[in-house]
Amino acid sequence: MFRAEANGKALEFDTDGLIGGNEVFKDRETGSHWQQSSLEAISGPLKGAHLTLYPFLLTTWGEWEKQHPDTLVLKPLPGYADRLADMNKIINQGVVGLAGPAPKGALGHDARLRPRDTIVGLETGGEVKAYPMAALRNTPVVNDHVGANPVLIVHQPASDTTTAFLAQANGRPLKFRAADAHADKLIDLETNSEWTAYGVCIAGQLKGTHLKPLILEPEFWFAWSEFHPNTEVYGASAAK
Amino acid sequence: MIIAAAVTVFGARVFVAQSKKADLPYVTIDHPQFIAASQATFLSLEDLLIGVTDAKTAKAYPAAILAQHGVVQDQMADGPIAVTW
Repeated sequence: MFRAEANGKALEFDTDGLIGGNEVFKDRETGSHWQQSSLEAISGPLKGAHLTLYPFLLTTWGEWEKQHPDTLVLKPLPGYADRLADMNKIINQGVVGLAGPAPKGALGHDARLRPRDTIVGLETGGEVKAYPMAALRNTPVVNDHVGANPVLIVHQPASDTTTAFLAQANGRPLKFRAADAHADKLIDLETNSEWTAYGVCIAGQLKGTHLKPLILEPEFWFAWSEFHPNTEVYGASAAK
Repeated sequence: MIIAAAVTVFGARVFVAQSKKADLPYVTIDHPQFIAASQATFLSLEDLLIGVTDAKTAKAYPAAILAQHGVVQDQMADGPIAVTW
């Protein structure tokens, strides 16, 4: 999910195969190729340019509709609509994490996680970090640092939805705990104010404050580690 | 006959032998059409999607559609986006 523009020029994309088991896009305007995981142009006139992530949320229909009752929904095209149930089965298996090796063509393997473990990647404060979904499913609220930035990662188990924020308000770092097992409400340890899992303070001294959202990139470990070789891993020992 | 269907998850191709239907073209949606939440009867509560918002609008792109197309070209209030999966 990215802004369809680079160097001030609007671009349109088609998929154009895989490199390292990870999708590659080709833009119609310049013919440059773009790697999905790194968002970098790897060949063509725009080689070396980067696309910018557009803020998005990976979540369930139940959770999204609850948060945005007036949402629009992409309409499936004829034919494709008949396959939605089959697709959802496969997608759910993939998102939980699959056993087995990296796909053919993967570029080596970083053994800190299994190839098809799913992670959410975060790039902020000059560093890159992967949060294994398996770890977040056990620890719904993570207070952490990525590079120079204090960060908050929230995992709501009911919808397997993960959100991330810069963990500070009014220039002051904050730490959080889950208000209950659902982790749809949080309490900050500094002021005991109450927050939603979407970074909005709804009660207490900081009421009305919004945390700055950070964009998480859901990926398989093999792809993330291929194209982010300097990544740290939450929960792993310091050795790289 | 069972056809080995390729499905994309997180930019990776996951091959699963599961479909009796021939593959449809894995191509970009250039002119996405949208329906109201009340009309989206094909969605179950637990189905995954990618959601985006701008100042005015919230839009949901069901994963089961994205996985069959690779890219959706769309327009938000703050510029053009490529929705990928």
